[in-house]
Amino acid sequence: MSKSLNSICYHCGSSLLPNEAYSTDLNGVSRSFCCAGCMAIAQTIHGEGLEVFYARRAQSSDKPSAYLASDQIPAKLLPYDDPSLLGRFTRPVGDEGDLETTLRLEKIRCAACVWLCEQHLRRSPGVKDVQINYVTQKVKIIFSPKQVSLARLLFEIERIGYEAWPFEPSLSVERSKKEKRQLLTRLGVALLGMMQVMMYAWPSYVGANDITVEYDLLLGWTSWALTVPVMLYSAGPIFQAAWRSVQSFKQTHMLGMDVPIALALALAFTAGTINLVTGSGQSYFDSITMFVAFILAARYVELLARQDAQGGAEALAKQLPATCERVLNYPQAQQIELVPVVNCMPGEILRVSPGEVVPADGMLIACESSVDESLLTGESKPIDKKIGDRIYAGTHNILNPLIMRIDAVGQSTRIAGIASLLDQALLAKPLMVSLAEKWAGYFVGFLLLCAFLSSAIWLYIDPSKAWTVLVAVLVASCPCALSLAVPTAMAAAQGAVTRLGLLIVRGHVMEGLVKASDLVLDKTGTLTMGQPELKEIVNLRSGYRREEALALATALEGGQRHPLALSLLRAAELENLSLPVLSEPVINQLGKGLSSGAYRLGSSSWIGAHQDLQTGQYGQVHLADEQGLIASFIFLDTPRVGLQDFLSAVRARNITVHLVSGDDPATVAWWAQKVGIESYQGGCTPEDKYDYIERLQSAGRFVWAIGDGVNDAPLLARADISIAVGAGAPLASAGADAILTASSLTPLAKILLLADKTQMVIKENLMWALIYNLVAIPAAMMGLVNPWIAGVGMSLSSLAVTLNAWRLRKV
Amino acid sequence: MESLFLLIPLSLVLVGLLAWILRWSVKNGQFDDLDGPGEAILMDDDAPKVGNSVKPTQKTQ
Repeated sequence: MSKSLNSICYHCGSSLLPNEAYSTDLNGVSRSFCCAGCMAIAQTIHGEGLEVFYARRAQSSDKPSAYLASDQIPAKLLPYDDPSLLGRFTRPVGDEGDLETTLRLEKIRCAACVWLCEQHLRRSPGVKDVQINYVTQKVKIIFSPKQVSLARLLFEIERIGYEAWPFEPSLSVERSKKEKRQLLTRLGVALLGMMQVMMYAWPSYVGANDITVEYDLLLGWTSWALTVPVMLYSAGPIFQAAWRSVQSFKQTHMLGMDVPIALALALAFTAGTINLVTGSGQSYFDSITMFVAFILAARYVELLARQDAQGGAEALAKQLPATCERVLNYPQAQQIELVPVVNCMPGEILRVSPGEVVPADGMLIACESSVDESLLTGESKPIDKKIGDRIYAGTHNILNPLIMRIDAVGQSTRIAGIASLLDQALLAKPLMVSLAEKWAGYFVGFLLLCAFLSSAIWLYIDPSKAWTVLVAVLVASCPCALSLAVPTAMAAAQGAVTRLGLLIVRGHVMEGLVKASDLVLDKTGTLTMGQPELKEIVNLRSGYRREEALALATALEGGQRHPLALSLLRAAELENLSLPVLSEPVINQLGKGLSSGAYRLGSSSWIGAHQDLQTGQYGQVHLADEQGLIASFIFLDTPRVGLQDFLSAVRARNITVHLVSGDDPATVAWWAQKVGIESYQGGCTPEDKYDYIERLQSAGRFVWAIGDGVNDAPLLARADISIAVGAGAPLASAGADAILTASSLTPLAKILLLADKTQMVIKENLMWALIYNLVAIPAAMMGLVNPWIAGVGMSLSSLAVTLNAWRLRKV
Repeated sequence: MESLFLLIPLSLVLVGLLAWILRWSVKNGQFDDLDGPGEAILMDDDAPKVGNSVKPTQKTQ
């Protein structure tokens, strides 16, 4: 490794300040770290001989918590060993009293991360077995409770730089696992049947006319024996769905796609069996098995994409902490104990430290503080909370440790209400009839018509051939190219899109992007980063340099968690300022600002400074001493990178852009004007946003939404297609069709172009399948189709479709 | 050619066996994660080269 690497942290990759670096010797090479936590992780990893992780990982890791430096299980994990929680998250297994638990891993970014977690856990004493699923990011651990505890396991994962939380396997998860495995077995049986039946059909493909009758019969009946399980087991659900669709025809007046498929299968199988018994004509068993195999393959691909979508309940569990600090005997003794949130009741008193997430809804009863509600309401600035104010679960406490009385926990909280609105919205989501389904519907209708028409005509000419022709038309038409046309194009496009930084969760995104007529954007966290940056310093008193004022203000703000304080710290760090040492301690005066001796830093009303009422500013603070104002610092929310590229790409397609935000109307208006969005609405609740989309949809618009917060979750779920910004709330991701993992919006502009291309390829593929069929069907109608010609044509058309889709992989 | 009367039923038995193996492996969860093990085996290959020689010295902090 080169020396230049020493200017960044070996573990998390953040840049190092020369005087703050920790360094240690690993494998004979001196490595630098930004904090004790990073150093501890790297030492753990190297200590176990797992350092190949650093060479293999795709991205640098996140910055860990500082407490990792000591080998102590932190107090927030200890309640997991409480019997009430342990019983919920573990299951007994085997005779030796071992326990099994499923954990969900966080911060996993690449295969190296999965490998590291698995190896590290295996090396822990008491762990019997570890199974990590790379796709679902869940790990199943079997451990002996005598040697190791659940809290210890969670801590071991934190010690190598990841996070884990116990996962309660719900019924729906079990059901979807069963569904997937069942479909896979059905597909496997169909594929085996297809291969074997095709092998038996080979003599007739190559046109060997010298097969004697007894061998023909042998081959025929073996094929039949293999086709029966494919028809009964693999295609069983198709027949069931077709039957249900016929039964409900009176109410729905629509026949599903399964009806013609089931009809063709049943007809072909009956005709084949009759032909086999009478000893004349074709058996069609190769076509039947192939048809079933391809249909099931397409359905399996679709199922995989659908199951990746996360349910609202799981996301909600991730949003809230599992443990909290309960205050006993308030207000006399104020003992604090750490308890699982599920054990808390309304009326009990909780303490929430700064930097933590509020676990329940309640009322502030002591210690005023300010909380960040941006994920819940979209409000960009922290809200000052006074005694008696409502505090909501899922918000961040940022200033002081606050004391609250619980009003509601679990399912009755505001955030759980939003989660259930999300589940409702997903149910109400308008179903998009995909292009392929529409075409397939027309195609099958056309095919049925052709088949019955030609058999009716043959009934006049030669009644003995009518039945054969009917089946020949149904079977000779190539279903493979048609069934492969869309899945191959989608799979190729999804690979390309993932590399650009968009994770597709529900399948119709690429198609929806082409159709979108309106784009609804959220402001905080989507249009902007929701993070203030120091824009300029004004009103500077003569005699003071800009740097001096900034250094002084930063010294006052040192250790504060307020967003404005953090942005001052960043600005000072960027300019490499050395901070002056303050002679007197800093006093935090809530709602006003900070003071240290004569220096005061805070709001304009407290300092008595003149405030420029430029709306859209994130805020301003003023620095003063006994002689008056020294400087004013003006902050601005930063727009997300690539916003202009993205908006111009969207406008070029004549998509109307809307800005809908929970932030105050003046700020929303200012931003809308700045980036050039004409329709905007501020001060929206989650329900307002939901209504906004519903209004657009009832006006016949096809709505595309992008958002990041909990308050956007119902909106994302309701929109025709939606994208959640990856760093946002898990609940928002649960409602969205795709998740933007890149932090810039530029990839979305490229993805729009790719969506066009995908649509083109799908159309070309369908067109090709149609042309092939337009040639094959009339030939079959006239009784001209020779089996081996059909076989070659079928393979070639499938190959052409696959190769065409492959072009999408290059971006 | 008479051997076909033996070989073809035999192939049916083979298909049956394959279907049974497939069912067993699906139930056993062999297809639940298709990416992880493939990546993991690559990582394990590299480990002994770098790992063995340095492991003991690094235990001390």
